[in-house]
Amino acid sequence: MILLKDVSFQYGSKEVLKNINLSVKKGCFFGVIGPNGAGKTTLLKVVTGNLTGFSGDVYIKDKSIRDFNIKELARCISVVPQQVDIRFPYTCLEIVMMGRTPYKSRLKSLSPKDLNIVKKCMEITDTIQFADCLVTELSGGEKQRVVLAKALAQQPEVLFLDEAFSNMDAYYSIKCLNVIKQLVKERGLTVICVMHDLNLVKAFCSEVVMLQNGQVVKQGTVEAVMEPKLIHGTFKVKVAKAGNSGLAVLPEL
Amino acid sequence: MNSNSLVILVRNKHLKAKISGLILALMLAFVTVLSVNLGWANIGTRDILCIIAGKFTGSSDLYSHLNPAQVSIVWDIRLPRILCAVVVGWGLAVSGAVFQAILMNPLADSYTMGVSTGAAFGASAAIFMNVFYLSSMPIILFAFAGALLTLAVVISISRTGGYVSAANLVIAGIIVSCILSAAISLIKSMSGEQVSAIVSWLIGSLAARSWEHFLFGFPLVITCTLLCCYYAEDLNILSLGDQEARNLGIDGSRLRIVFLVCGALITAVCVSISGIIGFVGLVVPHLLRLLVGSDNRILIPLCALTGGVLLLSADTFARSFMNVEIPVGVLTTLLGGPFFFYIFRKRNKYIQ
Repeated sequence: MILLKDVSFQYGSKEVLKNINLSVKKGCFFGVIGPNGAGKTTLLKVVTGNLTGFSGDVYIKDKSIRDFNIKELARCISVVPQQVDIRFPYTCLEIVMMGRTPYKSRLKSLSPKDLNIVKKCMEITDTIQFADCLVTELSGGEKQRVVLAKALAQQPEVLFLDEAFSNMDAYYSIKCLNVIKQLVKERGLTVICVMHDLNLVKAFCSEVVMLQNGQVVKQGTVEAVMEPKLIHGTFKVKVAKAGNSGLAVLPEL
Repeated sequence: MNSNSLVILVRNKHLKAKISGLILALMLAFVTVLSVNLGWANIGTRDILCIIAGKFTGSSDLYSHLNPAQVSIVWDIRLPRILCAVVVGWGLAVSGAVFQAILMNPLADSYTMGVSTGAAFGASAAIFMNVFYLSSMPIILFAFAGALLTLAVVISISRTGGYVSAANLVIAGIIVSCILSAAISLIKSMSGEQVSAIVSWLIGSLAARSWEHFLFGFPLVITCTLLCCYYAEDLNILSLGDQEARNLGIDGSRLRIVFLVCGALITAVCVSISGIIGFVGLVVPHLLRLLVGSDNRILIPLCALTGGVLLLSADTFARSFMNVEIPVGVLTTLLGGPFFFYIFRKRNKYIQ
């Protein structure tokens, strides 16, 4: 589904990504982990077409990202960025409805079918009760759920999540991840997510890539990559097994 | 929430917008009629109707029984001034809403971008030359050119790699408008005793505006407003930032230029007609966002009507109810400033 060939990127003189090679199959729940400044967000920006001027090649569905037109790309992928700064008092419904933009023609209102999709996305993210509320009046975690609903309303083939759960409480992080996992299973959605919570990565991702200093440390199945020794080498923290599939970071260095 | 609730929400929103639009349109009509009737010269409503009907149909019999001075007061003085007030208020409010959305800054307006200052500089230069070189430079064209030139400079400064970002635009706007303010002060200081001509233009007034002013401004303001309405949906998305716009399949950089040019054209027209009139572009979009929400498809047309009503009311008040006519630019700022302060305080309290 997604293929990166020798991708490098520089911010000025600082080399942020160095010769990254990656491949992600369709229907994969793919995690990107690494310490601060490892290049995770930059990697996501390159793959989603938000940064140009990188070297190497990025292919989405066997087509180079440089050959996509912007509307076509928006129908294929959607992105939940680290932070969405909404400064005007739109209602949550208006925000989620914007997710249908790539499918609608200008000056036409949304069809009942589109509205139904919007409604479903708001229901599964538990935001339907905010439909008529102003997004500027929601808490950080609630706002993130609305933005997630908007990204889902885009009905993408690939969903990119950049710390999309960082402000949600534990309940909603797990709930939203479950919703996304369900979509992966039922519709073959491909998910690429950047997360700091190693526990959640271990529990939900099927494949993981570990980055450090702009380079791939290891890519492979979640069991192979999320190994205590390797994690200690990169993150300098100790982890222990927790629950059935989880991982707990120990509060000691 | 049942299955139709979203449909109902959407329908209610559109209904509310239509009703507000209707009310505002009626208010605009009412204030216009009222304004034609108000003034120091006492002319009856029926006579006024005769004059307007006569002028439009081209039959001078309809008003031949009236004093030519009365005809002139209504047709050559009051009507163009009223129409200019509507066009300027309309334009300032629309450009305010547009600038706020593209700059992602609810406190922006045409001053933030330096466009108004550019127009003021053009006008000052024209007045200066008229006074000292005895030429007759048309102030309105100079103001217009000044605004567009400023826009071009601001865009070219803020462009990095073919890309114009909101933050860069604000910074470039502030830099350019500082330089231009200094230039205006320089012109003022060189004008010696003639400085009053420049000052009185800068204050902003609609006195003695003619049909030419209206006919110059109206088509441009209407065209740009329609264009903004056409792209209003994209403007909503653009107000979430470039990255979000891109993720939703919209090229933010190109669209921003379209809106910038539209907003600047409108501002240029308004400032060149009336001088600098403050706070309409800031207060009107703010007030309407509290009432009807932020959807620009609704906000822009309602801003247009509200701006027209507001400036016309202010101007009519300024010319009819005081012994001395106050320049409307002073009045809007004197009233608009405290009012804006009030909204701002209330909003902050609400958020806390």
